[in-house]
Order: sequence, then structure tokens, then C-alpha cells
Amino acid sequence: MPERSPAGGQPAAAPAAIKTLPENNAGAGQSQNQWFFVRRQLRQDKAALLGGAILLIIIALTMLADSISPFDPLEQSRDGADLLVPPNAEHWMGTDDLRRDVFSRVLHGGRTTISVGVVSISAAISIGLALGLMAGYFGGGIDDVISRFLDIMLTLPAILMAIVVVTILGAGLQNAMLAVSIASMPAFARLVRGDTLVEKNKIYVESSRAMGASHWHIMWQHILPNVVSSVIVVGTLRVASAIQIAAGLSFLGLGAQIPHPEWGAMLSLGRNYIRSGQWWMTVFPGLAIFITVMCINLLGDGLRDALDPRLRGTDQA
Amino acid sequence: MTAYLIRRLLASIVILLGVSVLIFAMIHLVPGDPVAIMLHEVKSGPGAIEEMRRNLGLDRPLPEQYLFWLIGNDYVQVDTDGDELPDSRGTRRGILRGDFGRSIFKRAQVIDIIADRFPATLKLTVAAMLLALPVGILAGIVAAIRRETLHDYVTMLGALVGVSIPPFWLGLMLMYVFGVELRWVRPFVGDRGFITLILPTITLAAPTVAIIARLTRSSMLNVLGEDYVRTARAKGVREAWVLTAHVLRNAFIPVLTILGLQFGYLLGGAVIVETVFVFPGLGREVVTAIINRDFPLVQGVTLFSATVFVLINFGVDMLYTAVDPRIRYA
Repeated sequence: MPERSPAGGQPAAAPAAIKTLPENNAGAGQSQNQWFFVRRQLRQDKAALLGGAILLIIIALTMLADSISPFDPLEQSRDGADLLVPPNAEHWMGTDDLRRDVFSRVLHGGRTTISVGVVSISAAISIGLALGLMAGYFGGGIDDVISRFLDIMLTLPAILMAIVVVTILGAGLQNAMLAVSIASMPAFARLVRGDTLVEKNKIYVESSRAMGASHWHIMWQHILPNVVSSVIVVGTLRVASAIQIAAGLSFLGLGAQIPHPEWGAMLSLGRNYIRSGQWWMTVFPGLAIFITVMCINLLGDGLRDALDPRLRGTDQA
Repeated sequence: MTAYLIRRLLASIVILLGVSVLIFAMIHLVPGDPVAIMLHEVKSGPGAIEEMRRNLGLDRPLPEQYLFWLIGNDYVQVDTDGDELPDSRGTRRGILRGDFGRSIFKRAQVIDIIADRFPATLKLTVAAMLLALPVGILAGIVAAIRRETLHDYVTMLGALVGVSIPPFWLGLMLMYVFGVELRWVRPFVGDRGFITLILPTITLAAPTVAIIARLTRSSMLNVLGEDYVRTARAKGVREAWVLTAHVLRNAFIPVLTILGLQFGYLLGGAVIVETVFVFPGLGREVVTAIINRDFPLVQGVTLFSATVFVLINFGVDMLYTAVDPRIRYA
């Protein structure tokens, strides 16, 4: 077990809540404290650091795709000799069936794939957080309704849930994003609900209530800062699976549409050229998804060990 | 025990009813007119929209539609053939009795399509589980016993790769290496016996192997730290016996819990793996159905998968109480 659990910082935070209630919030002091330990812990975690560093490089490369990619990702070369060329000095990852530069497409595609993952999980977190806080804090009928609703949503495996949503809305990148978001939301709501149940009975909540704080104030100012660490951990790990699901939907033809470069959609194109041996159309976009997802997982595992050792071994992602 | 069983069974039924409402509502959440969207895809003559709307019961009030969909027209009067008279009772049996309606594209009963395609998916899913379970558990045990040795690091690196590798890419790469380069198997031939099952099974099983290995390892490490393990060792019990009788038995409980969930994951993952390998299962069927916007077929398949998933989890729960008596009295 790591030597210090951040959740153990509670007793120190509780008096602060009483002292500084109207102007300041109890969470702030505690999270500063907490971030100090997190940083220290993370600095010692070489795997997480490596994952984070590579991830940063990948994000930088994809965000700068416009200026660093050697070719236009959509431009089809006029030169017939550029058809399905294996990787070489000019086309680092070869060219595809429409004489486009695969390297440029991988760079641009990453922008789409990674932002789909981040945006859909951010949306899932905001809704899941609100539902989970309400269910856990108010309990009773509200909790029953929300929890049963979550049970039902969790009955369908994420990819099936995403498929149902795409069926309703039709194929397309935005719909795929929404689908991933809806499919990931229940996990966050569940997690936050559980944490809220624990937090709401702690003394700092009681003292805040005794001072006449509103439900709203208690939920957002006191409980939220204390449940946020597990949300960050699960959120990070979930971005990894969101990228996989979103790329999977595009691979199935339900997400990003041609000619838009996206890693999953590129794989689906490359699939047609596997048999004839043009491996580069498939290898590079897939490798990109793989490395990105692996780095996020490394970072997420490191964050989990640093922020929330309770979650270790539960494989919430 | 019986009370617990009944409670769990009731909960499963309630959840399935909820899922049915969700999936029923699906068609009504489609922006625009679902019938027009569906018909847009098939060639339709004049009056076709009216006909299909009647056929799907879409001209009825919502609660009535749901009942009709759920239990058929034994109890709900519906006119689906347009003769201004209610249909004779029992022409539609409702999803509870396996009548999911007709596929719009395939001109066949949805239930027949499911019956036709599910065996292939089941075969693939079970094969993947049979591969993942022993490999994952063994890897996890070895990693836990030889904690912080090369064994452990290699296993955990493998597990990281397993959860991170996109299944569709793994499938394509396996097919390229073994099908195209080495020519050991023929690529993209679907379900042609044992040999063609190997690569899809590995692809589908990879993430599950990784998750089971991680969980077994961490669960073993927890149990190895328990007092009763120390006591057993202090008594001089042989290490092999400590591991089998005390550690493994208890370490399996969390692994068992996720088995049901993993089955669900495998059923979902089959959608992608079947598409990659042109494997003729339910997953590939549903992808085609989505692209065709064949709502009755998608509804049928998702509801069917959800039911299988809930049943498996119910079964796992029962197994769980058998292994861990503490649950029964909780």
C-alpha cells in the first residue's frame, strides 16, 4: 500500500470547513494538500511519467498537424506513381489507395480521435457527476430513480449502448461522440454516488449544515472537491476506452465518415488492402491508437496509485 | 438463500423490463419520422409509409404501443393490416414470447435471424472465455507469487498491452501476419471450422485475458497479506497447500464477480471482431442493420443481448453465493 491515502486528509480539512465557511471552501485547502502528495507520488512513478511524456508528444504532434505534416491529408497526389507506395523517405508511412500521404493523415486523424475521447468523457463526467451527487446526497426516492436508471443503462455493454445511440441518431462523428458519452456516463454516476454516500456523513458536512449552508453549497463546495480525485482517475482511464470505442465505431463505418481522416476510419480503409499486402495503411493508424491508449492507461494507473489507492485492482476502466 | 435468489431474480426481471422500455423508446427518439427514414432505404410504393406505420403499431398511443410490442395482440386490439377492423387475436405474439417483429430489409422474422446468427457468436464468445480464463488466471497467479520479479513485470506489461491494443487492429495484424505473410490460415473466410476460429478467439480474448490477469494478481496479493495465510504458514502448512486451499479459493471471488461483466464485454466485442473476420454472427448482423436503419432488427438483437447478459450475471451471482457463503447471510 502507498504510504498515504489522500482521503485520510479529512480530519484536518473538517475544522477548516468550520472556520472559513462563507468566504472559502473546505475543498480548496485540502486539494492543495492532496496535489502536493500526488505530485510527489507521480514523480516517483517512472511508468506513469513515461506514459504522460509520450502522450504529451503525441498530443503536440496532432495539434500541430497543420504546420508539421508534410502533405495535405485530403490531397490526392496527381502522380500515378504515388499509388499505394510503401513507406519511404518522402512518404514516411507510405501512401494510400487514393495517393494520399498516410503520415499526414495519421497526424490529422489523431486530432479527431483524441478530441472525441476527451470531449465525450468530459461530457459524461459532467452529467454523471451531477446525477451521482444528487443520488448520493439526497438518497431516498431520487436515489432510487437515478440508481435504477443507471442499472438499466449499465445492463448494455458500452459498445452495444453506443450502437443503440448511433442507430437512433444515425452514423457520423458527432453522433459517435454522443454515443460514447452516453455509454460512459453511468460509470461516473455510480462512482460519484458511492463516494458521496461516504462523504455526506462526515463531520465537515454536518458542521456546514449546522451553519445553515444550503444543499447546493454543501454538494458543490464540500462534497465535490472530495469526490473529484476518483473521478479524475476513472476519467483518465475512461478516455482510453472512449478512444477505443470511438475508433471502433468509425472502423465499423458508424463514426467519422470519409474522406475525413480518423484513425479508426483509416483502419477500415486499410483493411481492404491487407490481403494484397499493403500493410502500411493498417499498421500506422492502429499503432497510433495503440500507443496513445497505452500511454493514457499508464498515466491513469499512475494517477490511481497516487490519488486513489482504493481503486487499485478494481479495473474500473 | 432462497429469499436471496428470489430477490435477485425479481431484480433481474425489473432491469430487463427497464431495458425493454429503453429499447422500445429508441425508435421514438429518432429525430424525424423513423418510418420515413427506414423506407427511404427500401424502395417504397405509395401508401407504404401508412402501411408500415400501422404494421409497427406506430399509429397507437405510446403505452398501448409498448404493450402491443411487449405482449402481442392477445390483449391489445390493433389493426395492422389496414382493413379498419382489429386483427384477429394472437397474430402478433410480442417480444415476451419471442416475437420481435419482421426485419425491414431481410423480410424475415427477427427472431429467426437471431436464431440463425447467435450460435456463431456464442461459439466465439465461449471460446474466448475458455481461452481467457485459464491464461489470465495462471498469468495472474504467477505474477503474484513472483511479485516484483521479471515474471511479474513481463506479465503486467502484457496485461497493459492487452487492455490497450484496439481489438480491430489486433485482428487485422494477426490476419496479416498469419494469413497473408505466413499463409497459415486463409484470411477473411468467416466461420469454416476450428482453424478459422483461432484468430478471432485470440483477438476477442486479449483484453479479457489482461483484465483477469490483473485482477487475479491484485486479489492474490490482497489475500496473501491476510492473517489466516500467515497463520497457515506459521503452522508449517506446505506452501503449495497454503496457496491452493487458502489463497486461491479466496482470490477467485473477485475474479468470479467480473466474469459476468466480461461475458457482456465479449458479446459487445464480438460486434467488432466479427466484422474484422467476416464472421457470420449476430454482431455483424447488427452492424449491417444499423447501416440499413433496420430498427426492428437492431431492437431485437440489443434486447436479446441484454437478456443473455442479465441471465449470465444472474447465473454468476448464484455461483458466487455457492463459493462465498458470506454473501448468503449478508
